[in-house]
Amino acid sequence: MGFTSKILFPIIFLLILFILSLSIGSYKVYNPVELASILLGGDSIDKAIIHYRFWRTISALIVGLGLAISGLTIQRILNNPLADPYILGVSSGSALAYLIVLTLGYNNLLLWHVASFTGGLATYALVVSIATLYGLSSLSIIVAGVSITYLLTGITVIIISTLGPRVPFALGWLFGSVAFTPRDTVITSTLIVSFSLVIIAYYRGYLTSLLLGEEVSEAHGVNVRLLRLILSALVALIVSALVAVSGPVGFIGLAAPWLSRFIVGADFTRLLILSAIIGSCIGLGSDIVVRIIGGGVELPLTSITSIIGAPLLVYLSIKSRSVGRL
Amino acid sequence: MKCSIKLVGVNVKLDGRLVLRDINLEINSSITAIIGPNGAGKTTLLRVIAGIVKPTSGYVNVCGMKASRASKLIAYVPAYLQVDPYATVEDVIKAYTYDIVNPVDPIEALEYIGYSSLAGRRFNTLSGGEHKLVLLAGALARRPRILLLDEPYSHLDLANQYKLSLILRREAEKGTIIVSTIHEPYYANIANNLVVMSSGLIVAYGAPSIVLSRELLEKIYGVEMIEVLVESNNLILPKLF
Repeated sequence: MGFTSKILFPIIFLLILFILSLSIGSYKVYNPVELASILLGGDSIDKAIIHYRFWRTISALIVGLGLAISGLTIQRILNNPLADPYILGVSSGSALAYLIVLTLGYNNLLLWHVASFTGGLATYALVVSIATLYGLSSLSIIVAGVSITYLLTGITVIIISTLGPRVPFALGWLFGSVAFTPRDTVITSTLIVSFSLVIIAYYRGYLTSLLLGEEVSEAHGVNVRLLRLILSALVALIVSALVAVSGPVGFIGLAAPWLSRFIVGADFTRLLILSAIIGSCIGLGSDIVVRIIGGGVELPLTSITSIIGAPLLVYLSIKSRSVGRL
Repeated sequence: MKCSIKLVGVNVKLDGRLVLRDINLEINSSITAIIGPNGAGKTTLLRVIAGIVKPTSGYVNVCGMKASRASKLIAYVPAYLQVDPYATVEDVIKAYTYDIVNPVDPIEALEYIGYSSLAGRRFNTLSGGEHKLVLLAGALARRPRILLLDEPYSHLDLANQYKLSLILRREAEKGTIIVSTIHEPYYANIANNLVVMSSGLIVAYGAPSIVLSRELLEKIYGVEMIEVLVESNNLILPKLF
């Protein structure tokens, strides 16, 4: 089966999810005919609902896509099949820095992004440094990442507890939600993720070579250290942009690249395309599920993505160990 | 353009230890084998030529360029490689040709070394010997001027060792400069030139028939050797019992 036919089903599935995301919500569920008539000129309330759901759909889609491509990239540059921005603490560092600037009362979108980016990148550097102290391996980096994630989440929860009436909203954000993302933030983050996707695609040749590891890639002309530096910064940039949209969302960065591997193997270009599509599907699908099963209460996105991702992490750890990767 | 590899006064220090000492070497013959005991600096020498390890002092010149600038001319096969568990044989070969214009198709690359049967397999499910063959197919798909091999004979069964020797001969006749570390002194006979290393130094260099002697091998390996004449080939082997 060719690559085009392998991505056809995920693309169709994504389109269906997109339509479902516009149709389904706690207030009202539209059938396809109603949806089409509203899009062609329905009444103002229905239009307002669809308008709200459209931006929510874009948010969920960009969160899934961004996390998937950053997870894939970080897995390849670290040559670590278990890496993911959430597990490595990048999301938590980004979220904490974002929250600190917000709590201090700075009401500036650029400042939020800069703080969030710096927090994510600093945490990533810290996790890699700690893991290096006891021999950088697939497992040591995961242990360091999970430990730092817990530490930063603890501090984040303490800060959130000082927010008074905003506590429930902030806690919802901490576990990921795209229910109330301002449109400006969605647009800015979409542009950042799109820009990052172009840069990653630009480096696809080097990332293809990195399949053979650092040594062979260096011999074939890849400046691995520089590439890691650039792409680590890019991953932190993507994650910081997504934290502004949804807060930290777990496991999509792990699940989407792995589901893609099952389908297309390890060719980076193919993985990038398919991970982006599958990540979008998981982001959108999870957001639809939280609207349905919450019974009027918005569940956080990570509650759904964790149910998919945590068993996958266990499975992959066992599988990776069996082929001597840990 | 005539290609050659030149190392002048190369010293390499890793973790405070001098692993290559004052290496002066010019390689322009078709097959050069590097032999020596574990820790002698064979792989480091190969890595210096490949541009993976920068000399602490001295310089390396590959086909008139700095080693790091000659990457398109080089193909490197490591002694051991683990890749993404879902990588197929084709993915590995494609990764070898990422920077090559009009690269050889992975299936053709496998056919070229006589192993098209490995197509479609997951790389990590192959045997150690099959890994070596796939990596060789990938390296040859780069159409390199310089082929660098780290312990290519390890993990290969006798038939594949023989086959590998024929492939290397064929590539050398086509003009490829091949530099390979070798553990088994017997296979040094396929080389035109032999570099013998011990404790980071080149202790002998020249044609295998001249350089290889029982005394030299006993000295560098520190074990007693015997000489066996097999069909006019003088084999030097460790005396086991």
